[in-house]
Amino acid sequence: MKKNQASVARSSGVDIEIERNLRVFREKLQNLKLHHAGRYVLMHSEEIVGIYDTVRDAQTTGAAMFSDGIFSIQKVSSDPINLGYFSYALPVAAAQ
Amino acid sequence: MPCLWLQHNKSQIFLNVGIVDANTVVDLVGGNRPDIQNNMFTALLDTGAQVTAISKRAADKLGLRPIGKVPIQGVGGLSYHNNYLFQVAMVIPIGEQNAGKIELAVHIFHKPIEGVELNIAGDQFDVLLGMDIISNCSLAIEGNGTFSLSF
Repeated sequence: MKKNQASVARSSGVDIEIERNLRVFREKLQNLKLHHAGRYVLMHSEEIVGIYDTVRDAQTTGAAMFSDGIFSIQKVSSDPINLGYFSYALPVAAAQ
Repeated sequence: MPCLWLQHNKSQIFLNVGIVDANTVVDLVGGNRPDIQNNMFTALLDTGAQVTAISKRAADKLGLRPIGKVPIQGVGGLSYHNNYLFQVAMVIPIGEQNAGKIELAVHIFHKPIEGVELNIAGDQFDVLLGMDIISNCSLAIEGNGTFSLSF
């Protein structure tokens, strides 16, 4: 497999992993908030592997545990991010 | 305190920033310096944005790997966007022009940013520089068309 093909395959694998882990994370979020609000959850194969105080700790641990880079990190929070103007601007295509 | 002194267009503030994969910056300890010149992007400075955002094309160019997803409040309610772990760098001219070259210094904000992927239309800018960076700086916007950003 050529290098760019391997990169695309890995990227796709990460995207799928993130989506699957996100679904499980959202199911567990209310319980996680009771004791771990503001911390970072490291996930792999739809399971929580560890919970860390900083995103850097979660990322470093994930990279060490999963050499293929297939893992995801979710912050224990349900607060949506506000991007100001960009939160409320419709893409041109969507507005038409 | 390093300071950038640039011009604004009286309606928006743009500046060039470097985006560096947070893993690369860790490698600085081993002497592996990121090539900032190839990592520079135009940023829109936006005090209304809680966090910094990056376009998908910039993330792809840098080979950034998403770490997860975060909820963004939008017109149609909540939507989940990819987020990335990176660090923001500023390039500051520090020396006199010498043989056509200006000596530059690179300032990398220490704290990694959990930047959001944003669908930025057009090619005017690739980074929305939000309050996670701006709140670590002193920003002065002058009526004469200039601004200064100290950090």
